[in-house]
Amino acid sequence: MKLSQIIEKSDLEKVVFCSDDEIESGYCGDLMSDVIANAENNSIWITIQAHKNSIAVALIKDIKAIIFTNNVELNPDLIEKAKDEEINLLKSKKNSFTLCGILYKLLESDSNKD
Amino acid sequence: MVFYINYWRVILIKIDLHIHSSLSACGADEMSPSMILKQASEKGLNVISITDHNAIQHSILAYEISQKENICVIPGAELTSREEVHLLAYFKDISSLIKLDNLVINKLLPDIENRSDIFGYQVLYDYHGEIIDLDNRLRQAAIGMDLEELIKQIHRLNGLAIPAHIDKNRFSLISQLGFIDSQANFDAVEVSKCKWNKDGYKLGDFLSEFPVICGSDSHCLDDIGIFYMEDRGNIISDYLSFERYLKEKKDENNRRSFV
Repeated sequence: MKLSQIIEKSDLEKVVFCSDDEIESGYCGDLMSDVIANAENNSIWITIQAHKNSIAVALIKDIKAIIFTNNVELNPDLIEKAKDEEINLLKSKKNSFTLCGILYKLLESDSNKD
Repeated sequence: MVFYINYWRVILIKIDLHIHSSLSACGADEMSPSMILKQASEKGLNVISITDHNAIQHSILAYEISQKENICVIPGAELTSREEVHLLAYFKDISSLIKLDNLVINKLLPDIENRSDIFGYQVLYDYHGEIIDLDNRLRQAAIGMDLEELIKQIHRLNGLAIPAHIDKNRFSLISQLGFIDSQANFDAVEVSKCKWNKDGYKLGDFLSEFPVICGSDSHCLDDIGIFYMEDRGNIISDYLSFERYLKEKKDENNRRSFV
């Protein structure tokens, strides 16, 4: 599913939007060591861990977009780094559980169509 | 022979800057500041620090007791950042540690009650080693401030900020944030005893761009003195010499990376 569709259907705020990538899967986790070990390529990552290292983790794992949940505060450093490295950054007021449920349904119904 | 032993004692300083007292829920209840100092002295340690989780009272007490003893206590604490990274903070004097408590810990640690049946008691002792109270605030929780900001705050108070046991699989820089950012403003990094021994580290070595240190992370009296850093050059005898040493190491590293 295209990232722009995901943004629209799950009511996400665009913080950095640089490319409308095709998203194939998702991963949710706040420990970066766990995300490095387990996230899949071309995925969307749901987390509250708003630290600039998250951009590097996204690059290592070919994660296309990061969604920060719980309306966490994002510092300017993090946003700058995402722009430099062209990683999409999104924000949601919902908590990770609720958002994962919504995204799971979206991606699931999309893969059933194929 | 006697002279030789004395001489040897003088040039080998034993340092352990990571000890928990009974005020940490995970620390044994008998770990009063006076008992820790007694044990540390008996084991021949020269420079120690009591670093409780988000708590300072026992570090202050140990510093006060140490004034009339032949051991140096550096005021310190082990803070938990918003990312749940454990961060060691050390200061020259207790007034800076008290400021850290007022400005950061007291303000930004969530006011949740400790469940002693799950986490353990947080026992408060007095100068003479008598129990005076139980601390009921959940000290295991995270302070509502991110790592970078915490470090800035420690530096504003002229302290040293050192991520704790960075190789551990929980509450560490690497478990929480994935890797070491070489641009970060750490004064050093601490590794676990296990890594220190396995990789054969010694005082003066670097890990990534940072001087590497190690503490025992003692939680009971018997742990104290089993592990310590050896300072064979007789460099680190108190906070100021420790600070100067880390600064020199950092400068040395900067020069090295310019070459």
